[in-house]
Amino acid sequence: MRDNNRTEHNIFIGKLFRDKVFLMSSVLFLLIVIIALIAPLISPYGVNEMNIKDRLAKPFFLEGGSFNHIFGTDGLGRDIFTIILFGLRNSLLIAFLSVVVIFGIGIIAGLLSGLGGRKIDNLIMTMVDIQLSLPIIIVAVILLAMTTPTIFTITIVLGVCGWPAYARSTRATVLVENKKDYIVAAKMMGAKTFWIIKRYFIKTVILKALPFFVLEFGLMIIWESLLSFIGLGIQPPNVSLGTIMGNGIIYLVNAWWVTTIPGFFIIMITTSLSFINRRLTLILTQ
Amino acid sequence: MKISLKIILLSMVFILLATGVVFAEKDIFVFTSAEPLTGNWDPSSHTVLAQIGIENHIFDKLYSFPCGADNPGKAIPALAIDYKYIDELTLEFKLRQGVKFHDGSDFDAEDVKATLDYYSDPNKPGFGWLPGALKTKVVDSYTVDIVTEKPLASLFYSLGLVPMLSKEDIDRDLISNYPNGTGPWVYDRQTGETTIMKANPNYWAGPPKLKEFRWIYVPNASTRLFGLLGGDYDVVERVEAEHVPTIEKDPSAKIGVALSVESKWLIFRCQRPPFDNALVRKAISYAIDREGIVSILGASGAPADAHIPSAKFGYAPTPNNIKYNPKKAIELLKEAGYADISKFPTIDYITSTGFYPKTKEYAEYIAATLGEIGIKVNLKVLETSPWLEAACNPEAANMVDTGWCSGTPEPDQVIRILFHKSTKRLTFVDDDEISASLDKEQGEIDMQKRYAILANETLPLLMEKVPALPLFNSVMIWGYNDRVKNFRKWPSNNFYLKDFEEPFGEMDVYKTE
Repeated sequence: MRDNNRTEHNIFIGKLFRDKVFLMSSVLFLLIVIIALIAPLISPYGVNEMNIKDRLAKPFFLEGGSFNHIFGTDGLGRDIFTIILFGLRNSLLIAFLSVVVIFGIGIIAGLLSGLGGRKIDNLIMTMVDIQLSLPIIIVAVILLAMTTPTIFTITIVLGVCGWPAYARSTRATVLVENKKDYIVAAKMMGAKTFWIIKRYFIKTVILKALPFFVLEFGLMIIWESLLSFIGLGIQPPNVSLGTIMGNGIIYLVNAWWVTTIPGFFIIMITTSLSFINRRLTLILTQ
Repeated sequence: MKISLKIILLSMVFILLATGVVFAEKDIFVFTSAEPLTGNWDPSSHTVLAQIGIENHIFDKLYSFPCGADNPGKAIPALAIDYKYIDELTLEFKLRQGVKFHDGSDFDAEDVKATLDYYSDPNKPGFGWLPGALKTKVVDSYTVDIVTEKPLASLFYSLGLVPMLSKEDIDRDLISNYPNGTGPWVYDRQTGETTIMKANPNYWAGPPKLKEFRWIYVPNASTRLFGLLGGDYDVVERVEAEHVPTIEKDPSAKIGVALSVESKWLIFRCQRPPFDNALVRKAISYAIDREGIVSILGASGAPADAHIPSAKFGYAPTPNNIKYNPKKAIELLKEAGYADISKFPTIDYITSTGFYPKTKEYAEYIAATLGEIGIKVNLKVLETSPWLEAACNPEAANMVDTGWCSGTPEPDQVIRILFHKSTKRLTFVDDDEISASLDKEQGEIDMQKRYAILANETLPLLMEKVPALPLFNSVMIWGYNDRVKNFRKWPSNNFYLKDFEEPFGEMDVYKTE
């Protein structure tokens, strides 16, 4: 049995990495995560190191730019490469934690709904319907305007806004699986619900959710950036990709790099995750 | 044949309508404001700059002030055509005759009395425009006497800030609902963020030739810029310094600049710790790099070396002007009992975004420079509406960024309103020495002596006790469409549309008499 599982696992990994686009996307994303993790070691300046005399310096690839600030500086003379490195840390962390919350709440709610009986199912699905009828951005804006936006509150808000879709998806998976012969047989042999969930449902649910986990991660990067862009995300002196873009919008006409370069990083992250998701979906649905 | 005639007639109607639309567009002036309106048409209920700005077009005052360093004392007659001091306690005004309110009722001395009585309520924010409660006597239909309990040097320049209201509206408590003034523009309606005013055909100085004036609140500086360049807006205010080259390069737009009477302040909440201690306020002020802040602002700011901006009467460079000195800041904090700076409480600091230029940027800079000496700052950047609410709430934050712009040469409209213990506004400072000095200069009606008191006593005292730190003086930058000829916004942040030649004429104001 163990050898079979290991073989299945190897086949799965082999199939994934056979695709060059998947490989490149994974490497790119991993590289971004690594540079975010080691930001304090590689950043040429302090994250809030301001040099007013050097504000709005051009990136190296523009005339007048230099390698002192490879991506230029912002309105307060902060090195953009440095604040992108630290901004990536916060953006990636919030995205990851939000996805964990979304899937955590979604999967638990879906399992309860699918296995808990009609009353629990109706209650949870009603909550899902209500939540899905409210636009995420309005809920997020209201909740964050009422609190002080921190990594914790932003994570909770995004998590609370995103769980319903996964609750429904998990519930559907559970309802289908519950009717299968081996589950019926396990129940007849006296297997407890918790054991059945642990032995059969969790793996199926997680495998089915995996592509969406990747996609949702990219979506959370965008949502976090949007909230920070409009001032409801990370607060100064902390930075995220969205705050850097938001700070730079008034300079869009004459110092476009302040807003555009962090945006480019967002595009790289979401595009690589999109390609990873595509390959995962293809293999898991074969 | 019949069908052809119908088509021709319909086409003619269509062309006429379309042409009418084009003509209508030509007669419409669109101004974009960076600050929202209050939603309350009672001019005594607020001190909000945008609301004051729009009221300037709907209401008249007794007179108005262009302000400006070249002639800060200049007053232009409006509803008052002449004045004289009967004695040192009584100021008499002769009023303009033949003026009507927008509802058709006549303006006379009863309206002036009713307005000043209405404003003489210490609970109203507008009370701050007056040097104190006033007694107004109606001498005849077009003559009023304003009597004070003691000589008040600030009376004349303060009165010019009060819009004249209708006595009937005050008696019937209609002021908040609908603005009924005597001004050149009549309030028509509001849709969303747009307030629409129509030309007053019966205006005493002659009706504007333009038909409609739209005042639109556009919170974002980039949106204002693109609207100007796209031809949607005729004038935009609070242009960011970085946008100036873009506007200058565009052949359809121009830039106007003026050193204004507006000061930008770092307000300390003086009624509670830690800023109830003047030594702490002074220490924090030494830790702030005001020169660096002016660099961030670029063309939008000029250095402030006094608690009165240079465009006002009474300005004098303060000999003890605070200069950035972090070492001195630390020494003063030790003297104030904070030898261990880690024990200094975290400062809650509120600023706005989207209204004044670069507030977020220099707020971060202030937080960073305070952080360099070990002071922790909890910075909150708020949209304009919640920021306004927080600024007026004494319990909100320890430090607040705000501006103060009063369209009069009168220095008391800055220093008395912000720093006298009776006004209870923004700083909530309760300092007998400051209040005594303010009372002394206000009571001196000899202008030269008054100037000496301000320059040698009051201003140095304010810099010593620093209930608020003047960060810089605002340089107003506005952008205007090329079709607006000779547009000039006054340093008092007001502007007037009166007579226009095609398409827009000289922007000049009333006849001086």
